[in-house]
Amino acid sequence: MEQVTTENLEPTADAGSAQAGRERKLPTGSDRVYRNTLWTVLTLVGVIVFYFIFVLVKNSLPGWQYAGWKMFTTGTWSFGDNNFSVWPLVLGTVLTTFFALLMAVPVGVGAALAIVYLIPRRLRLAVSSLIELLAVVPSIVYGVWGALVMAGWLGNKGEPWLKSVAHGAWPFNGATSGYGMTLGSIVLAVMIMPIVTAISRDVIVAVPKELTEGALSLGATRGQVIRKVILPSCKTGIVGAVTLATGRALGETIALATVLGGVTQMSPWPDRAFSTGSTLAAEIAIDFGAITGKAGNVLFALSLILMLIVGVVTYFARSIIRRNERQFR
Amino acid sequence: MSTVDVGTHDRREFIRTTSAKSYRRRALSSRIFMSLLVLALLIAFVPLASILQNVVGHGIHYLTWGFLTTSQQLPSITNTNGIGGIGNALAGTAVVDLIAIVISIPTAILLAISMFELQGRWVVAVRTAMETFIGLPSIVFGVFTYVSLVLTTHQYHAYFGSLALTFIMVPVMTVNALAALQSVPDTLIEAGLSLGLRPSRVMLHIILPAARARVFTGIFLAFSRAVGETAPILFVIGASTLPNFNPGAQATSLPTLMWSYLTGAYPSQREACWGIALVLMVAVLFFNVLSRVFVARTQQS
Amino acid sequence: MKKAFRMPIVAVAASVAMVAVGVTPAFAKVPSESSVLANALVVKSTPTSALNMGGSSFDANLVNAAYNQWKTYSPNNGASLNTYASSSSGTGRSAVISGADAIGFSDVPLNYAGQDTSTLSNWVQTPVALGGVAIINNISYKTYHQVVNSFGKAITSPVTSNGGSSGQSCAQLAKAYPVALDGKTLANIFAGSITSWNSSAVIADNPRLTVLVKVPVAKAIPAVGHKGHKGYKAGVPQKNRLEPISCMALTTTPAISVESRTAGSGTTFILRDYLSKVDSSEFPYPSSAAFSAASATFSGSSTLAPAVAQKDGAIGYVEYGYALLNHLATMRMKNAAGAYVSLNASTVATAAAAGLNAINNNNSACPNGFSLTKGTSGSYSASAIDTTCFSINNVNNLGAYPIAGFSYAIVPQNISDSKVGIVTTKFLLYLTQTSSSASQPYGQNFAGAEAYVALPKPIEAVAYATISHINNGQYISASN
Repeated sequence: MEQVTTENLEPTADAGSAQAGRERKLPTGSDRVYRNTLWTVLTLVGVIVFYFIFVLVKNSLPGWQYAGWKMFTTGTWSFGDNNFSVWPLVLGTVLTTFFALLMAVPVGVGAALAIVYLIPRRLRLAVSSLIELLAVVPSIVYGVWGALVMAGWLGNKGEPWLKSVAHGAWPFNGATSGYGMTLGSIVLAVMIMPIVTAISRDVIVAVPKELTEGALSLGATRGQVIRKVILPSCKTGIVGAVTLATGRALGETIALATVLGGVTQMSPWPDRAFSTGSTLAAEIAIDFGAITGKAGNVLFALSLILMLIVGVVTYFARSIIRRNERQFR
Repeated sequence: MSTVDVGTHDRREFIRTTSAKSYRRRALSSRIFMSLLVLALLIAFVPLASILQNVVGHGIHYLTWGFLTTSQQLPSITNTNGIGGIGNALAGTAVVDLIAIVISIPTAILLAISMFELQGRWVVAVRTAMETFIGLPSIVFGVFTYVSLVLTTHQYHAYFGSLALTFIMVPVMTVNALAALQSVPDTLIEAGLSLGLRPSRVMLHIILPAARARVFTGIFLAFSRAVGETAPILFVIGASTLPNFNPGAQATSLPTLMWSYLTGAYPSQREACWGIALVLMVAVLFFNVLSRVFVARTQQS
Repeated sequence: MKKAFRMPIVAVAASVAMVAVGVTPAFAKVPSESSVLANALVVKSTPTSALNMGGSSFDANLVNAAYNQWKTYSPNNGASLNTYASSSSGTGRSAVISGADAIGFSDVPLNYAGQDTSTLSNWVQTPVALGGVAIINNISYKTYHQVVNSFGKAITSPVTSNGGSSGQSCAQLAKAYPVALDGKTLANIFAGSITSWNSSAVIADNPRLTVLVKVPVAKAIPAVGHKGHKGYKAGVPQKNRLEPISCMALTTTPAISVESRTAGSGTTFILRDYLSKVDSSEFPYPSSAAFSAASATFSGSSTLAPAVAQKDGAIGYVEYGYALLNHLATMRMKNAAGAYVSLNASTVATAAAAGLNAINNNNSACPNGFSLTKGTSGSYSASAIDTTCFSINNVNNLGAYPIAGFSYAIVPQNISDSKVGIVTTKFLLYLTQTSSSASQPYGQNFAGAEAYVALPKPIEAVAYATISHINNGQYISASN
């Protein structure tokens, strides 16, 4: 969980770009002790990074062996019974993330637009800090809030209301339980919304004034200006924000582990809005107690899958954001 | 719209009336759109209000000296409310986090300096790794620490948690510190070099002091995140009901205590989660606000 | 044999058997209380070692209560214990095997779970707790309102004969006669073949849960002939019939929702062991795997019980203490002797006594009496799960609750660190014995209040003998 402002997303200069290419890069032969210390540190850290990847890969290999190709066929995930099909987990991860994004992105972008265009400038910092407060809340507190407050409300009021509105049609059919995929999606949405808001706000503020003023002078209404001028020019930045939020949602562990119902046996997969389920990350946390058995290596394989998915998504997010920032320099 | 052959006056009249009509329609849709934006903002505040109200409302009466200093007790059926306090968890959190910070700050700063001064593919690789690590799920670092330390030594120690937390903290601190160093104006640096100072002196006496505020931002940002992290330390520090300041012993920290209380058998344990949440949020907010103070200082200068 | 004689004869036989068991030389004698007291209560050396324990949720309440008391006997006792991490039996075993915990608590003896990383001779397993597994349920009944006209035409649904609503009297009946199940029915529920509370098997097990319901008739008996003519007989309005309906057919949520523990749970092992004895076709052997018919699985009894409490129509299984904590109704079970018994301290105690008696009489399979291992040495694989010599499930005794079991503490046979060894041995000794003095209770004195049953005296002797094996008794007599 990170405090998201552009501070920690500042694109760092590539070696060879104008900033780094200036003359002050260490000329060879000067201050040898300094230079060697720095290379030592850099090498050490690099070695640790490689060791990190190596350990995870090496310990997941017995897991791949143990679970076999059945891991990637459809089936049941049931850790204690040695059923290791990952599809229920992958589906759970994808579904919770998808619905969380569906809820969080419109609200986040809308809130960012409201902050920039509707809130007086003096109050802008205060209001956006309040929303970013949500990003500071630790995951375990989200877990407590979700389990002790939202689960009861959803089970008693929210889900029955949804069910009655949909007249019991799929996916709002079956038993309501409070805990489950719906609650997981909602908690995830609340967690990623501040990320979307913060980055969108920065991107919207950076739109050149000329574009806005030009459109207004042509007689466009504020709504039209936002929809047809601002949003299209912020597209890349918002896509970057969404990708970052996706990376965050895919990897969320603790809050989902407490809120999805602690199910470690999913057969075959979450098929209703109210069903319980699990995600890759939450499953690792829940099954961790069994990690010394042979089946424990399967959890390392899961970590590897999770790491790959999130790493790829985050990498793309950062390159998009970097590209977007450069656009406005 | 067919052309109408009318005089100038009628043409202006025509343009005025048709554009007025469309303007009304567009103004209405604009108004609807703007109120949707307001709605979005209000929706964004609802969960915040709910969380704050619950944490403060339920947790405030746990903020007593007794609760904060007494150690955790074990309830049983004849003693369902005997949960004691969180003294041991506070001690454990302090130990784990302080050691993590002591390891992380020098590492991060040195790493940032080396990425700033040196060049080559290795630098790019490590920098990419740091940026990627920021986004990785923290459970992965917990798994790594567990595999490399707990499984090999068959023991739990508080400092294992510190090591896991450095994986969380160092990337954030490094990326911020690097940006800080790069934001120092070239003129300052060249002035220093032209005075004949060695690069290490330039770094130490010119660049670092100039970048100081921003570096602190990163440090406090990383720390506020690490204080609230549960997944990396959950399976490596063990548990302890003793208030122990020995990093070699097992420890309980505030997030791990919340995790075990949330699934506890006794309602008194589940209720106490709010009190612990309040304490944790105060700590996290404190460091987060500190980081913003330094952001403000950066923007001033 | 006349029914009236059956009970006392069984009781006399049981007591004779228990006396016989007491003098069997296979069991070591428990030393006098004063020496146990001296050894177990006080840890004198400082600094002491940290003692980490964890594992089965079955033992959590007892260990907590015992530790809280043991702590007060000596300042060093307080400094030496860390915490009891209540999770599952499987976690307890792996924690002690990996060395992370000093004592692992498990309801499944080591090596009956396919632990292939250890051999039995390296470990000491002692029984520490005895309790019953409660079958918890959450069943509510519909309430009916009456409006019935004189022709028997119902405006709404049926009503009971005493004028109240049928829902109300079903709840009252269920309080007086808790829902009862046969072992086979329970097995079918957990296997998923019985899925609703109003199935005939469940109704057959609960004959007392019947209410008389006013059922409207379809129509009145028509008049014969025409009014004013000879032979006219007026139509007779049919009175509403009173029909007995089982309360199980009047449940609010008829669907049974099975809640299971996750894999590795020892409570599951005890339940599955019982199910394998009553329905070996659906449950061929005991294991700690979760039930596939479950709608949700939970990692601990502490989360399963509240989940059942919140879900209408749910059925689950937890150690008795958790049912009490969550104010959950427990089911009456039909035991092997044919009687329906509720879960309480005396029925579990009877089960233990009769079960031990049966084990001791089984000379062919259990030459050493109560034993966690068959044979004398070696390691066992998961397929060789044979619970004959320690299982007290499905005991054939009129007063016995059929689902009960022991829980065990597992420690390494050789504890090299003497500080850890002293603290471990002394606490285990304290935990497994009963004292006759109320002012200085031992661990098992808390059993009753914590919803367990104190270990029977022969088992306490087994525990003492087993604990003496730790480092060949070096720590038991250590005066540190």
